Amino acid sequence: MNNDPREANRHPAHSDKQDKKPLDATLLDEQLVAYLDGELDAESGRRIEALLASDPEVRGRLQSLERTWDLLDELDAAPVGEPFTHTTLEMVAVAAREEVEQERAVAPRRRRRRRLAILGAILAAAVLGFLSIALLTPDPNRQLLVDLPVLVNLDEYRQVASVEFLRLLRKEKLFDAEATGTADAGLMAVDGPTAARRHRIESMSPEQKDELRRAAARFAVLGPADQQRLRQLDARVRSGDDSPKLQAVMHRYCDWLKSLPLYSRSELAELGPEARVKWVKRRLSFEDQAREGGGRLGGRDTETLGKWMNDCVERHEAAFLKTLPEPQRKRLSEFSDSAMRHRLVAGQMWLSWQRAHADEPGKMPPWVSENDLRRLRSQLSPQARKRLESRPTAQEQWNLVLAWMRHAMRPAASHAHGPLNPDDERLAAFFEKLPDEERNRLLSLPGEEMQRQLLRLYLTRIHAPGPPMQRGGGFDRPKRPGDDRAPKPSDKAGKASRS
Amino acid sequence: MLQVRDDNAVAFEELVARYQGRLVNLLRHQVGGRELAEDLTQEVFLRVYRSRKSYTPGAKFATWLFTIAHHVASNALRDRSRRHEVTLRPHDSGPLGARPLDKMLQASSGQMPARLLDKVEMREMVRMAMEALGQRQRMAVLLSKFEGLSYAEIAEIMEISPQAIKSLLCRARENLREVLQPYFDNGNVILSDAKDVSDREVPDDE
Repeated sequence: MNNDPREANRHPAHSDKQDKKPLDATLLDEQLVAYLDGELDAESGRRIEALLASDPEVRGRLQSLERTWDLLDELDAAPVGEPFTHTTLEMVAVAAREEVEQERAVAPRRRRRRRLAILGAILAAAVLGFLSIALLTPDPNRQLLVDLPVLVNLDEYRQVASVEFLRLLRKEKLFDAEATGTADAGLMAVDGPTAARRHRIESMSPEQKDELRRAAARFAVLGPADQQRLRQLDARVRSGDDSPKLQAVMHRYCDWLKSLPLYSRSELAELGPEARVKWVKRRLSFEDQAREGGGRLGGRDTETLGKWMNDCVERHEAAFLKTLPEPQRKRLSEFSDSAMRHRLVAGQMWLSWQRAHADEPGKMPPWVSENDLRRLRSQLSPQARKRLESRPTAQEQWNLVLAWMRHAMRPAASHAHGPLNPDDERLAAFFEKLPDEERNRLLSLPGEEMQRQLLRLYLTRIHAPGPPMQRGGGFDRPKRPGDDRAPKPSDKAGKASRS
Repeated sequence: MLQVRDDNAVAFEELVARYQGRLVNLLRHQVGGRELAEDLTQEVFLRVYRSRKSYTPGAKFATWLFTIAHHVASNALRDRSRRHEVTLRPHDSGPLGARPLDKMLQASSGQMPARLLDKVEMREMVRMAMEALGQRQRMAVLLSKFEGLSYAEIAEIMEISPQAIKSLLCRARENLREVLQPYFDNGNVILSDAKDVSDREVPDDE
C-alpha cells in the first residue's frame, strides 16, 4: 500500500462526491481495520467494499492485516487448574473473614450476626463445593478396574486414535497379518468381569503394576472428553467382528511406530485417519527404497560427499539466494560472519532440496545441474560410482544422492548432539537439566502437551546448533561451547544403538 | 454478578471458574510471566469481591471485570518500571532464543523436522511481536482479539474514547504486520505445506 495520501486519494471511494474530505493512508488503514473488526457503519462499510472491489492493492493490504491478525491465534493459552481456583476462593474467604472482623469491631450485634452468617455461608459453600467434587470423584481402584482394558493399551490407543484408522490400515493391507494369540493376549487378558480384572492385577509383577500405575496417572491427566473417547475406542476395537485382526494390526503398527523418531510419531498423531494412512504408506515405501538401493557410503565417500555438498553451496549460493523471499535474503546478507552465513545458506539449501524432493521425488532443484552430479561421480570411489551409475536417469541418481546425504547427516547429528529419536530415559535426563523455571512451566502442562513441548525443547536445544556441513568439507565439526548442553553420558548409548 | 453482590458464594465460585483462565492469559500476555499473571488474577478477584457492592446492574460484567484487570495490570507494570526491574520474560529463553532466524536456519539444516520448527518459530515470532507493542496497544489487541469486545467496550475499560481505540488498534495491527510480515510471507508457504503434509512431506529420515 502506498502511504502517500495523494495516492490514497486517487481511489474511487476517496473521490466520492458525498465525501469531499481527503482520506489519507492512515485513515484508510483505520477504516480497513474497523471494517475487519465489524466496527464500520453501513455506509462506510459499503464504501470500503467498493474500494476493495476496485483496488487490488487495498485488497492486498486488507488481506495482509487480516492474516497477521489470524497469526495471533498462535499465542498459546495456558490452562488454569483446580488448585488455582481453590487458592483464589480461599483467599477471598480470608478477605471475607477479615471484612467481618472489621465490621464486628464497629457494627451492632444484630448486623454482626448477619455478617457472620454470610461468612459462614460463603465458607460452607466453598467447602461443600470442594467436598462434593471430592465425593463425586470415583474410587480410584474401582475406576482403575473399569478402565483396565484402556490402561493396558493406553499408548497404542492414543497412537491409533480411531478404529477407522485401523480399518483403513487393514484395507490398504498395511501391517496386515493373521491375528496371533500373542497379539491378542494383552486385550483379552484384561477383559471380563471386574473380579477377573482384579485378579489379573493382583497377579501382575511389580514392574507390570508400576507400568499400570504410570498409565493410570497418564490417563488421569487427560480431560474427561479424551478419556471418554479412549473408552469408546476400546469398546469399538473389542466389539467388532474384525476385532482380533484390528488388534493385530494395531500392535504391529505401534511396534513399527517405535522405529520412527518421536517427532514423526507426534506429528502423525495430529493427522486424520486418511492422511495418516497416506503418510504411513509413503514412509513404508521410502523405507523399502532405502533398503533396496540407498544405504550408507563408506567413510571416504562420505567425506567426498560432504566436500561436494559444500562445493555445491558455494557454486550455487547466488542463484539460490535469488529464490528466497526478499526479507530472508536481506537478513542473510546482514550476517558479517561469512562462515555463519555460509552455514545458514547451506542449511536453507538442504531444506529446499528435501522440499523439492517431497514435491516430486527425484526432482532436481534448478541450482543443481547434471554437471554437479557428473563431478560427484568422478570423485567417488569405484564402488560408490558404480552404484550411482546403476541408476539410469539423472533423477534417479539425484534420489540416491539425497538418500546418501540423509544417511551421512545422521551419524553427524547423533555423534555431536544425541539422537533425534530420544527415548524416555534420555528425555528425562534432558528434563532434569532444564532450569527450574522451565521445568515448573512444563510440569504445569497436561501430560501430552508437556511431552510435546519437552520434545520440542530437546530437538531445538540439542539439535539446533548443528549445520549440515562445514566449510572445507566433511561432516565433523570442531567442538563448540553449546555442545556441552547435550547429555553426554548417553551419547555413547546413542552411538552404540546406531552402529 | 448480582448474586455475588448479594453474597452468594456459589455464584462467586462460578464466576471465578468462568473467568480465571481468560484473566490469567490476558494478564500473562500483558505483564509477561505466568506466576505474576496468576498473582494479579487473584488480585483482580479479590478486588471484585471487595467492590461487589459497587457493581451496578446495568453494567456488563465482563467490561467491569476487565476494567479492574486493566488497572491491576497497569499498576503492576508501573511498579515494575519504578523499580527499574528488568525481568527476563520466560519466553526470552524459549526454544528459539534471541536470534530466531539464525536458529531456525541452523535447525532446518536437515537435523530438524521443518514443520515442527516452523510452528515453534511462528509462535515465538508472534509472541515477540506482541511483546514489542506498547502496553496500551497490547491491551487493546488482547481485548479485541481474544475477548471479542467492541471498540466502545474497550474504550470504557481503558477509559479513552472509541475513536482513540480505533486509532490505537490500527497502529497496533500495523505494528504487528510490520514485524510479522517477513515471517508471514515465508511462514505462509511453510505452513501451507504443513497443512497438506500427507501429500507433500517425505517422511523424515532419522
